[in-house]
Amino acid sequence: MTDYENAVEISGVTKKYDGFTLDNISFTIPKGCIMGFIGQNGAGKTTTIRSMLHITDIDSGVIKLLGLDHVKDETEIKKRIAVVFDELPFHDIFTVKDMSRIFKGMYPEWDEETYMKYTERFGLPMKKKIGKFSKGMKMKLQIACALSHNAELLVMDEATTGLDPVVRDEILHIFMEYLQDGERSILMSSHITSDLEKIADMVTFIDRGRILLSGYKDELIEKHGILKCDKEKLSEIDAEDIVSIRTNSFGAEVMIKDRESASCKYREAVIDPATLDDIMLYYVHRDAKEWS
Amino acid sequence: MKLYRSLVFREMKLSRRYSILSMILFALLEVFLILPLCLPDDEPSTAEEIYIYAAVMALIAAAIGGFISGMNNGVNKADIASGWKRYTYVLPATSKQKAAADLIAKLLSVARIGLLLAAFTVCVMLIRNVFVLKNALSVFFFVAAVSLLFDTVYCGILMIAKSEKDIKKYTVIASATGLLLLRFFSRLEFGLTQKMAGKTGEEVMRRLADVSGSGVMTVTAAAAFATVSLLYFVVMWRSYERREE
Repeated sequence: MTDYENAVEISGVTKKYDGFTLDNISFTIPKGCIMGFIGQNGAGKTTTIRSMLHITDIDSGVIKLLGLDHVKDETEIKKRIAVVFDELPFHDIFTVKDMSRIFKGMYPEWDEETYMKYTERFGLPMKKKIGKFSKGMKMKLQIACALSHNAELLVMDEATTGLDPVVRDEILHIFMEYLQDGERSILMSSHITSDLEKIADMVTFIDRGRILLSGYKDELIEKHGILKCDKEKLSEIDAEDIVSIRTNSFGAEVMIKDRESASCKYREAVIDPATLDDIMLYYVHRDAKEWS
Repeated sequence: MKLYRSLVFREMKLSRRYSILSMILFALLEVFLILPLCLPDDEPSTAEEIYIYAAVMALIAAAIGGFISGMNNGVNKADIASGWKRYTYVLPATSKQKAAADLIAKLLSVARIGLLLAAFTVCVMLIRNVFVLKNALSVFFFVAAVSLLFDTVYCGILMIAKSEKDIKKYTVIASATGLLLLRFFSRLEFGLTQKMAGKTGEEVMRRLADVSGSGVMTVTAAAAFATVSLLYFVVMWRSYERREE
């Protein structure tokens, strides 16, 4: 087993498609962290994940998972990672028991006891065919499989999308438990920022194939702010402080890059804290600058 | 070894329905259609006549069995539709291991039908006291090789499909390629028919029994089957190696 500092290291990765380019993206996930990977639909989250997992080849760049090269050491990496997709990739005719039989031989560290514990906890019937499961049950089964071979890195591509808030909360709680020993890391792509706000340590924001922000969630939230003012006062705000401006009939809301310095600079203005949703929204409109 | 057991178990479970149905169909054909034709009748026959007749019956059974056993069992198509094919990229099994598991599953299905065919020849031996296993195996291996060759082409083309959407398109392409291949084989058959032209039915049957019963033919057919199996492995391996765009 290799020792590593970062569970994921992506550096200068480019992948060109007709009409879309994953453009020179770089970010890292330190060991023991939950990274929220956010962006609109079509921003490049799934392409990044597929590149990381070598489902697709990249044009250039370097990807290291658990300190290993994602192509050269592919088999070794895949023994030690787990992936959860938005749709269950198991055939309908299988049962919970069958899946255990299939994965037992694939993963050297498959733990039958852990799998049974999760299936019991999730209330998954052992002999019922997967095809008869609800969407929530299917996702729980995929997660039970992912968490039962002592994976050091869990990659989830829109895994909580389409699930009701109760199931999502239950799943997020399980992820937090899974991370408790500090040796495991999670990359969770989602456009449901409320989930990431709950559990993520770090956030990477991708838009139109480019990484716009990557860092610790609390720092990002702390740093950004929404300054509320009249439209006439907009001209008093330095352009370099602004991400973008949302205007409405009552005035304007300005996403500020540095809340602390802005609160000194614009003493009379009210600056509210920003949520991840706000940050995503204002950054998406960064080119237009003013939007409503 | 555990990995292969897992992969083969998955494939066998997925194709279980198909396998059971094909085995039942083949067993019914043998027992109710072909075997009754081997039963002794009132007309006196020489030992050679009995042998030739039994051998030809065994050839028919072997040809049907070989065809069924090499046919596609629908697992590849189902794997693409369910998303399992994409999922295999994140599993620790290598492309070679996945292809080897596919081949093992295929060989197991050939072996199952092969066993039924062997049982059939044992029945023939008990009824008519003639040994036609060699004849049956020659044709069985040869037809299974041809059938597997079709499946190899079909799988090779189908495995380019990445999603359920692609399946239709690639199924059409694979079927068209299959038809071309069929045309090629029908030309071979035409050549064979021409060679047999002018000979009586009895002479043709005798020739078929002789050729299929020779050890050389059995070995050649087995070698052809082994070669196509290897080709099947290579095609599957390369298709698992291929990454999505």
